[in-house]
Amino acid sequence: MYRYDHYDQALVDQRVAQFRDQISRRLSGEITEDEFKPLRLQNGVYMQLHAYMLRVAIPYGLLSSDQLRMLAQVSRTYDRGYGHFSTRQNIQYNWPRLQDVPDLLADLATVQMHAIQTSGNCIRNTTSDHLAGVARDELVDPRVYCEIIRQWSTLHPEFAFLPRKFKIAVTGAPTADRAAVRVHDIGVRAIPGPGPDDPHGFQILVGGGLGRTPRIAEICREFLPREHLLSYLEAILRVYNRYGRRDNKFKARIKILVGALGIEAFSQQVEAEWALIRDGAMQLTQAEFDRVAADFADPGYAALESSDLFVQSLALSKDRALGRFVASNVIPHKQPGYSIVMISLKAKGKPPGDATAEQMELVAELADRYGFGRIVVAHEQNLVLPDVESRHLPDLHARLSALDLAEPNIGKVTDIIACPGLDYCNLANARSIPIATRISDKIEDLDYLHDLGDISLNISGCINACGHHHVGNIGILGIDKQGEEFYQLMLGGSPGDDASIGKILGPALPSAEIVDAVANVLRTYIDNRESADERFLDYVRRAGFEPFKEQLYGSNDHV
Amino acid sequence: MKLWIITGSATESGAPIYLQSSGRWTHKLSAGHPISSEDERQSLLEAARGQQKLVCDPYWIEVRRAELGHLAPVSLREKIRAEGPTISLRPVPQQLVATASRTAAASA
Ligand code: SF4
Repeated sequence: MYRYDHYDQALVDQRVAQFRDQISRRLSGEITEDEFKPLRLQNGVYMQLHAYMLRVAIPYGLLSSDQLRMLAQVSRTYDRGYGHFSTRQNIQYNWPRLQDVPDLLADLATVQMHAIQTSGNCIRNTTSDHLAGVARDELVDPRVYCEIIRQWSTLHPEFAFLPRKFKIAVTGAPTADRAAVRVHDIGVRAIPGPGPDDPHGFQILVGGGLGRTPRIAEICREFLPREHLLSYLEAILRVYNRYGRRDNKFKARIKILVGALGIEAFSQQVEAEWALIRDGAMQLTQAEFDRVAADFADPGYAALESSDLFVQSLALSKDRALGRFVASNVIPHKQPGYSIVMISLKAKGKPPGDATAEQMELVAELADRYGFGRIVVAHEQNLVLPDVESRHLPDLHARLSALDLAEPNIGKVTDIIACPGLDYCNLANARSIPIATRISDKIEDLDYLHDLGDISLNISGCINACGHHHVGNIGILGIDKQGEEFYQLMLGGSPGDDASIGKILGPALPSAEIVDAVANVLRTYIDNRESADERFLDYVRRAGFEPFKEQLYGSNDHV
Repeated sequence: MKLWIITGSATESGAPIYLQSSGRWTHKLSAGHPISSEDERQSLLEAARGQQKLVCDPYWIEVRRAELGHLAPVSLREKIRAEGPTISLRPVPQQLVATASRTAAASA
């Protein structure tokens, strides 16, 4: 993985010293909260309901075992012994004291981590496919481009005060978007070159997003030669910076601009801007590409036979706990003899995405022991051990089980994405986490869970949609109805290649009814699907909402 | 009759704090000073805004007298803010950690 050079390290160290001084001036009363707020936000410090919250960047979700150990240590030393992995592949601490933040950041800097650009109206952490570098269906390793984008966008002077925050996602798998690129401000999709011998390039999507105005991104450029990636991104950002609205926060994201101008006019603007800069210093040379790519070289895999049959036999193992785990949490690796292991942070009764210090330390140790010391944070709020020799799967499963990390539910309906909601968040209307835990408690029968197949269920505590509810196959949005928590149920969302925004099924339901309503939706699907091969999403798209409405609300005049 | 309390977040920790009748701040909502007039509410809020070293973004919340006369927040948001998250993290019990170390030792 990428290692800081002395510029990176100096920049991060200097930022810690600078923020230490700003914090000390805030604590002494020399500066007011109004003066301090923009400074703290530039360093990832938010004010939540009970405490400050610190968001730490994990570039494209990739961690070394040393970094994960440090995240655990930080949670124990400065927080309450746990951290929350977010849908931006970052980690958040919910309880740091302001006076401790400089030391916390200094500790993180020793393992090349920081909180810069995790908040504010700037280019945020570039996210990517959690299977980057190891997936069989990958055309190119997107991490190389993510790192190039990271270096370009870090403290980019022109883009420090954009109209709103800006999020870029990159996928290297043209037929399996696991990075939700169509719901980002810019989505970068690696695609093959036009001719058989032409190098790959990118399809550039723009104007996607969730929140108050959900929108699927549109194609800004069908094919971009790879050497022009940065200049083209720069051109998009310039057009956005120039024309994006600054008068109304709710209309300031690039999706609103793209919607207002129309994609054709928007891309014409971008092309005109790009023409001015495309052949300048931002052109990616082969030497620069190779320099960055060297940090993402294969970690030294052993030459092994294929383990596909072995893994299939494990999935059918008499040990049902192991069998279920392998069937749902183990993914084929590009390298024969190896597997990708997904670690669910969605154990029963546990807040989605939370991991204790002990769990983080165990995962770091297992990554060292079984997987070249690498860990990835998935945007679905799970962890990944990307390089496990398949013969170690039974041992690994036993070790994970011991710390409640072997829930066999990846991609299943209890693999719930949930934002912190009203339990922590200052902006929330309703709680998210208790709804998630109640749903996972309700679906106790693992055979039933697996029979349901792949279903995503996403929950947000307000319209800001940090829980990506619009693109859950089942989406739940918390709303406040005269002081009571109510929940809107949506169906039909998807973040992938077949991206779609879910639609509201009917009137919002009170907290006491929402979990049964989800169970009802699942039952309707099971009872009516054509076969077990018809996925929930396909059933919703084929059958529409009527069967669900009928079961849930009885007569249609309720709706 | 409506009642209010002035609240804000402590600068040092971000924790919710409530204005007392002494002019000092407390972490316990029930020890906050109940205000019954809009004029007093406004003047205490102005005074709180002047204490920017101690408190961030002060504002008023509506409270009510609960059983036994205790003050309690009216909104769920303020109730959660005063009492903490409604979920338990369920930290890994020590017993599980011990089992995990044994499993580790066995597989070493
Ligand atoms: S969706 Fe709303 S409630 Fe949830 S974390 Fe985002 S801002 Fe907070």
